[in-house]
This record gives sequence, C-alpha cells and structure tokens, in this order.
Amino acid sequence: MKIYIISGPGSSPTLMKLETEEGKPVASITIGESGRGRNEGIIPIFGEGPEVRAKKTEAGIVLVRGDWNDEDRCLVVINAVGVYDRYRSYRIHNAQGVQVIASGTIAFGQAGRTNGGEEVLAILSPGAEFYLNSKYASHWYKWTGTEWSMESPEERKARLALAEVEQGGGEWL
Amino acid sequence: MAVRTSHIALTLRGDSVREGIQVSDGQVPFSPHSGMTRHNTGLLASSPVLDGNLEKIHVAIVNEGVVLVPCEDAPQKELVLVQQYSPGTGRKRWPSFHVEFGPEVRQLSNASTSGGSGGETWTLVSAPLGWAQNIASQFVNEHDHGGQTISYKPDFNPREQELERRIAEVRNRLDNFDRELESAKRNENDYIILSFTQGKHPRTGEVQWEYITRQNGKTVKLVVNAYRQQPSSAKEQWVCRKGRTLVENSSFQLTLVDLIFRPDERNAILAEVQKIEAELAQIRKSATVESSSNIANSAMAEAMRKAGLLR
Repeated sequence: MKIYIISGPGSSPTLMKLETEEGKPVASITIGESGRGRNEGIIPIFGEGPEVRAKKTEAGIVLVRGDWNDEDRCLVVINAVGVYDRYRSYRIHNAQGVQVIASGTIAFGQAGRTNGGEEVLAILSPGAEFYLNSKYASHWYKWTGTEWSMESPEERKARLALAEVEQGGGEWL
Repeated sequence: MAVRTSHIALTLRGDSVREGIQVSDGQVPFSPHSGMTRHNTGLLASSPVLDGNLEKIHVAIVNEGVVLVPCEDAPQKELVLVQQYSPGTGRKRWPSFHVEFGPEVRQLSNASTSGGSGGETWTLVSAPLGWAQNIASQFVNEHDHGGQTISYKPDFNPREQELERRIAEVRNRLDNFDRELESAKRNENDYIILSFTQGKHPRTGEVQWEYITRQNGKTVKLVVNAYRQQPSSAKEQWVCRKGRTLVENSSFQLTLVDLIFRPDERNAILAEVQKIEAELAQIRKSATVESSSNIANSAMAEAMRKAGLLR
C-alpha cells in the first residue's frame, strides 16, 4: 500500500516519502500530539521497500515496508484539525470504506480544553470517501483505488443529483 | 412518463429581469456582488449543460438538489433565480431588495453569504408566468429610497405606482413653494416681489433689468445681478433677494437683487397635480370596472351552473 498524508482539512493528499532528506529510512509516524488533553501515537516502520502494510501486534500497529504493487487500498494519515474555532467539529465525517487503525488527538489551549480534533492513520478501500471541516468550509475526499479526488459539498451534490435524474429518479415539476 | 412543466428561466435582481439563468461547470453559480462566501454556500441547481445560459427548461427535484434540463416546449411557468441583496460598502444608501414569497411560488433552493459588508441570498423559485416582472416593476431602485421587501400583487399596475410617486413629489414641491413664498412675504427686509423693466448701464450702456422707485425722497434703483438668472420679459413677477448695495447717498441708492422664483409658477405646479390626479382617477376607475365585470361574470357563470346551463 502507498501511504498518503492529508496535512489538514482542504489540503490535497500527498504521497509520503519513506526516506528522510538525508536518505535515511523514516523510522516512525507520529499521530496526534503530546500534552494535556491530547493523545499521541507513534507507529514504527520496519523493513525495506517502496510500499507498506500495516500489521496488528499485541503491542500495537506497526508498518512493514515491502514490495506490494497489486494493492488497490491505501494508507493515509488524516489530520482533521483546522485552524482554531471554538465550536467547529474537527473529525472525520460520513466516512465510508475507512478503517481507522491508529488515532491521536490534537487540541487548542494549554490544557487542551477549548477545542480539538483527531488525527488518524487509516486504511482506505477503493471507493472510500469522507469529508473534513476546515474553519469555514467542508471538503469531500474520495479514494478511487488508484487516485484521490476532492470535491466541495456543492460539487458533490450536483454530481449526485444529476446521476439520480439520469437514472430516472426524482420529481418533475 | 411523468408530466413535465416547461419553465422559462429568468434572473431577477431588483428592478431588472434578465432572460436566462447562467450555468458554469454544470452548476448555477452563486456569485454575489456584496458579502463574503468563504464558507459552503449551498447548491442552487445543477444541469447537464456545462456552461452557458439556460432559457427553457424542465425542472427535476431529487434528494440532493435541483436539476435543470434544457427543453424546447412552450413555457407554462417561470423558473426565477431571485437575487435578493443588501448593498455593501459604498452603496449603503441604495435600497436593499428582498422578496416575500407567497403561496404562488415554490422555493426550490437557496444560497447565501454569511459575512462581510452587505449580503445576498439567491433563491431559485418556480412561479407563475409574469411573476418576476411583477416583482421587478414594484421595486424602486433610487438613491435614499429605503430598502424594500416586495410581495407578488397580480393586480399591480406599474403606471399607477409611478403616478402615486410623482404626485407625492409634486405635492411636496408645491408645499415647499408655498412655504418659501410665505417666508419671502414675511421677511420684507431681505425679499421683495417685483417686475422689472429693461434699462441701460449708465457707463457701459449694457442692457440691464431694473426697478426704479422713490422712497423717503430718495431714488432707489434695484438692478438684477448680471451674473445670475435674468427675467425673460417685463411682464414677469419675481420673488427677489436683496443683495449688496453698491451706491448710497442722500438722493440715490443702487442695490443688486437675485431672482429666486416666480410666484405664478405655483399655477404650473398646481396644473401638474391636477393632471396626475385625473390620470390616477381614470386608472382606478377602469380597474374598478374591470373588477366589477369579473365579479358579474363569475356571478352569471354561477347562476348558469345552478340552472344547469353550464357545467
């Protein structure tokens, strides 16, 4: 599986590099953040190869590098937290085909009490979709099995409405 | 197959009704002139046509929204994109435009701004033919007129509204005129009502309008300021404001005057009031006759129906 990163609501998914700038292998992925009112998870990465697979152990999830190129699922680190807003819901909404395997929390304020949200590592099946809220807008993400697509709620509604009418659904005025 | 009602697409904004609804990227775009749209605004409608101007359409309602499909049938209703607005910075003295939707329309979708200066709400409605024009003709898009919330009035006559506005303006002008004339008459030291004769400037020989009289054994000459409005004939009477006295000695006084207005202008204003009143009365009379005729027709139809002559 390829591993992608969505660094915040509204950001395009980018392929995560498994080597540092110095050419050394990345040893782990950190999910969430440490501190009061927060949770941090560290997922180690072992082995060699261009792709990874997640393995569940008694001690937690580990990512094992290898050469698996027939995989249409993907791994993704999703940071669902946008800029500070007292009441905005910063989590993964309406998720379908999303299997969360590790999660952490990111929060605002010294004690983490004002507002916060989640950062997760998830496995996405082909056709998986979900949306994230940024401070003012919402953004739909879809993994097709080979690539990502992003839509605004209006674009998504327009597409679905048109498809429904083409299939003979709806009420004609 | 389900019955489809053909709609003519119109865009209504204040006093303007434009034919067609614009589509961009398969959607009716929300692009307000004032306010901010940094959040998700809502989908007005989608269409299989990617870009262009939709003119005649069939309208489908599905769970996700409204779909506009072009057609060529003769329109039976209107699909109106109503662009309601409150003006933003720099245009605050222009009227806001809002519509009170009655039972005659079906609201299908809307999108709105949620911040910034001013704001807009666009609503897509299915309405009877002539609805948009009826709303637009009631809206008065004039500086300082004040915001308006307009509802559909099937018997609305735009000419009647225009005449009502005009008569209010003219009556206001008449009141101001009377007030100014009264004030001029009261204030004799500064104002005077005169007719002038043509004379000549004693040094340059130029023609000037003047009024000569004798007061307390002194010749008083009042001359119309050459740089201001001049009378057009000696018959005209003018309310004048006394200006600077240029010469004053024991036997002679020369004072400039400015023409303000003619007292007989009142007749012209009064005539205009009467003319508008007559036209208004005519419009109202014909509206009453039309309405009585409709009632009579309904009553006759009802009577015939009861008598079994009409089904």
